[in-house]
Amino acid sequence: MPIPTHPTDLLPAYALGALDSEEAAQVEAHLAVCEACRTELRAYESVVGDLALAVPQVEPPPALKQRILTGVAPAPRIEPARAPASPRSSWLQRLLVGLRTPGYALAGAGAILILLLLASNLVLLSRIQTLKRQLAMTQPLPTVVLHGSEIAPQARAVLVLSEDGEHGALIVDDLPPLDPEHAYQLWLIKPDGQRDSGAVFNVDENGYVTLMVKNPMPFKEYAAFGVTIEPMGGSPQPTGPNVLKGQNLTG
Amino acid sequence: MDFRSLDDTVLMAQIARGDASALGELYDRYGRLVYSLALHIVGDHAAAEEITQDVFTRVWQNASRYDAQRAQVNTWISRIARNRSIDVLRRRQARVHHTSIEWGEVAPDAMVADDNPEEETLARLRQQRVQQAIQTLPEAQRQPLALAYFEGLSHREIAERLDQPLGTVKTRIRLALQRLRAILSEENSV
Ligand SMILES: [Zn+2]
Repeated sequence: MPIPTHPTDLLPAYALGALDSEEAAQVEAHLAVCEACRTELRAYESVVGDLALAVPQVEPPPALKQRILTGVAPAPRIEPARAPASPRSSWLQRLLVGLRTPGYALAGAGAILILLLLASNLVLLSRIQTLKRQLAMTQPLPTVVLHGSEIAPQARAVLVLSEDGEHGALIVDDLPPLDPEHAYQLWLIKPDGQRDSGAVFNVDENGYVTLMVKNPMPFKEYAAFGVTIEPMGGSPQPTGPNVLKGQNLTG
Repeated sequence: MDFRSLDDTVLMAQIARGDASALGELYDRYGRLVYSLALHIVGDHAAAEEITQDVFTRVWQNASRYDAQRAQVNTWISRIARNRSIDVLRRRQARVHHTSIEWGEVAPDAMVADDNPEEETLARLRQQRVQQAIQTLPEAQRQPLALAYFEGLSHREIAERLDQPLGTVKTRIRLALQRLRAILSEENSV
């Protein structure tokens, strides 16, 4: 097989996307086997990227950032499936009834529950009922209950952990919806008082949300968990009032 | 964590982990770039907003696929922004044929003050360098480059649009990018 010549002259137009498909395919075939040309291409791609700066710079409308961040909110936007009979007794509160045991051990097991908690809420209730039955005899799933502070006394949240303590889901109920300039932020509090951000989130009109927690360390490393009100997008460290707090008794 | 001190690559890793506040910081850095490019290509504010939202949503969804070995973050984002804008432009041009998009006029006072003047100055300098580099190109090279960059036209389509021989168009675009690369890489190393 002859050594293919380097398509050096085609790389600028390839970076720009101006080659016809046949030429582009030839260049791609060569790039797959030639590191030198890949490096050369990256230089042209960088130039093409810089061309974006050549247009007049216009400030986007201020509300756009919020719209984007709301659109990618960490929690799936799901409709709460409340039982119509008892308006103020949410499924979470009913779930919490089952948690009022020392150590807050929920009968359940595995990361499956966490995935389920994040699944469509329309089927969540029935699945949780099934799950509670199925898992009644297996290992308790570690959970931490967070209680509302004096500024949101009705609020409740439960942090459900996977058995290995590596993954966690937070379920929040009855937390007042915030104005667009603010968001709730979950803090993972280390024994020395240092805090890691676990999530930045908003609640729906019912004050409800479920979300996956981002934990830099296994949950057993944290002494407590808290939720504060922060400027939209979150803060590096808590700056606003605390609305939920719970001690980690799972370790 | 103070996101402002993080470089783009670390910020992307943070976004890949699902940190919405990191996406907010990325928007602070590149939102204007994306919006301005989209506005220049599609020519209307509502569509530019939609494209910007779409671009950052894609960044959010694809952050884990970002490969720092392959492209700088600004290159990666502006490529997504350009592709999305050209998609929208093509859908519109199917209905209305409008005049070719040109390079913008250099407007040094068009920038809005930021709460971080140092960063702002650096961004402005970089922008000026790119704009000046483009101004050094002969018009005969600038025009086909604009058609390729803003409208996503191929060599062949540009040759038809400008009624020039295909070979001439190919050469001019190649020379233009080679020259820009030479100018900009020189300045990057300063
Ligand atoms: Zn090669």
